[in-house]
Amino acid sequence: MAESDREAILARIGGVRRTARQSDDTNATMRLRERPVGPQPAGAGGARLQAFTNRLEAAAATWTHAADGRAVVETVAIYLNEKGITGPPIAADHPALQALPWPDAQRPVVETARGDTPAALTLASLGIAETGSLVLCAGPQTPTRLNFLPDILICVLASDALVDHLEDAWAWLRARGPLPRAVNLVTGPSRTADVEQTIQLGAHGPRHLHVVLADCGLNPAE
Amino acid sequence: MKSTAHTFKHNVHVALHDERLQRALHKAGGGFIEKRRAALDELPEFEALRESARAIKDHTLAHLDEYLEHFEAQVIASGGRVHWARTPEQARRIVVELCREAGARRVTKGKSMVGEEIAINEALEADGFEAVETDLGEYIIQLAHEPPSHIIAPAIHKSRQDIAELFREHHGHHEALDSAREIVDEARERLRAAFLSADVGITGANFLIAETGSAIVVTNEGNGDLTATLPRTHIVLAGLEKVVPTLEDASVLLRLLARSATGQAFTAYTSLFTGPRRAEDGDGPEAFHVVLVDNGRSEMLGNEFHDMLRCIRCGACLNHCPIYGAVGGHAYGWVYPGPMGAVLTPLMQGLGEAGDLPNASSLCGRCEAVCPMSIPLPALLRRLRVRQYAVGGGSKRSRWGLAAWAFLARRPRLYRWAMGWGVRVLAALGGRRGRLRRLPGAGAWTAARDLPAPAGDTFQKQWRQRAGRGRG
Repeated sequence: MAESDREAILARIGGVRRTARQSDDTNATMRLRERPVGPQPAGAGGARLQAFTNRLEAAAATWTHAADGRAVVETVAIYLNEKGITGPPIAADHPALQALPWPDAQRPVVETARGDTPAALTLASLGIAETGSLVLCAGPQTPTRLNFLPDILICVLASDALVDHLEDAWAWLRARGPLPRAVNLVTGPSRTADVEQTIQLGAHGPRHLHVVLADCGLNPAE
Repeated sequence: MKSTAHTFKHNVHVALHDERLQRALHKAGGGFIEKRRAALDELPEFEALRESARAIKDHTLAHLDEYLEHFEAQVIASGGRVHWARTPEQARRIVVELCREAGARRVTKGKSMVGEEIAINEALEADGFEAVETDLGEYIIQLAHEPPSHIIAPAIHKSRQDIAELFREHHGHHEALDSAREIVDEARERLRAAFLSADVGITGANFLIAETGSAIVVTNEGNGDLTATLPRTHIVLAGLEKVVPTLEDASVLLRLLARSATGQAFTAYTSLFTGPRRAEDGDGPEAFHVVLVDNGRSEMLGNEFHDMLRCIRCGACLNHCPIYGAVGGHAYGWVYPGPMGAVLTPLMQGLGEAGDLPNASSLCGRCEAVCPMSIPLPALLRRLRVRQYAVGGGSKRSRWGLAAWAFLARRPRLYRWAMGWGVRVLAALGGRRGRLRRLPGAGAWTAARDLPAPAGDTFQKQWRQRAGRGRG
């Protein structure tokens, strides 16, 4: 039954598009192969880091810079302390994160995110300057639920993993092979304006998003 | 949902006299417009993007069958399945069957306009599943048993007090919620439990990517991501015009979508979902399905309403429409309100049901001017009026009036003679004030304002006189 719906829809579309197509000389196979890039906002260009952090702030996220692993550990501790979180954050079993010089009491607990997880630490694959987005890829060491269930999300991004435009992120993803199950472009904390058009942060996802831009070799791509 | 577009005039009357609604509309009115304006001021590339977006959609529609087949092949290659539904009934049957297959009890939903179109919640509930909307706006109207009144802000007609009352009634216990913050926190807590216990998650899709077999879901709340990630099965509901060739093509559309909708440069969450969880993944659904819904779309392809298939559902035309601003979304009687709804509803529900909608427009053209996809909405509304007249629709009076005008307009001498008399009679009735307080047959119009009486001669006569002077 479903098969006949498929054939009927495709037959109808095929019938009309032959006439519609005459004015169009690129064919589908060509476009899929060549993937032409459309207009890109110029704003991002030169000062990539500046553009990225501007967008990030505009989206109500916060960020700190960390020159090395020790600084990452410190900035995470300070941020959690400011937010009144006493214990360590949870994290996935990611070697790059676990290799950081954590004091015992602060070492991220490897645990699956639950409905009441206060804070989590994750790793972003890329940052996109054009939009201020983090690119978070689902994978064994980067489970998607960790990015959405906690109240506070701290995300570590290698400062050399910044790209200018969305298209640069797609090129990076393609070079890695088939797409992961989920690729989340995250731009600031969760929000809603469904109550009288006033913006409230933390609708269903994190209420706070803090990005640690780290100069040390944390890029999960490596 | 059942359409009430056939009682449009009554709906409008009710809406105009609903003080709460008028307050809410007034409050909502300018916000979207200003935010969009500010976002576009920062984007000098807007017109270039708009042209590019139109070309992308036109190309895709010209090759729609090829892209749909490619999309299907890619979904299958990534371990998912694609289902094709010609009608809403067929789409409902497929989704219900998939939920049964998954042994589901509770189903969470991300916001989906196609879901509204096919009335999926009612179908799920009729079959014993519990369907929970998770977008805050959709959740609110689900509790209120109402349809969305705006395609991107479904509960825009509700005040904070309305929502607080609804929550008290449905959640029981506690004292009154006061602030927007408390309301959002309460919904977050309630829906958390639903997310974590759902067996199936249904989302819509803003774009389907032929190249990769991905569904792109754009949200601000993150509800789409939790819906797509926590349950055992993820079902994507999408109109078949949602497909675009590549991620590069989607990028152009994404640059326009949020700016046109909420005035954000980018929404908080833009997510690509491709297939079910991989063997090594720590989470994600075990099954991934895409239900492609036709429901009249393939018929629009290549006909005089073809341009409507470019629509990306941003809602800019609603936000800028003076009619929508005056009566709100519910008056339109079905799922899609505003100018885009006045085109889509008659095409999907029939002109007999929704023939009033294309007539409820001053054709001022703001919708076309702000549309990121350059859809000529006023022209499409006119074509629906022509179609309606051709099939004998419309009120007797309007048909008689149009017929009388057509009779005169085709006989220039008679037309000039009649107009000459008409102008003189109206001028005489206007008297020294030059205005008419009442005009027989146009009482509704003159109830709220005077009609300025014509001064002097007809346009044609004046034109001849001036042209004569010009030559002399």
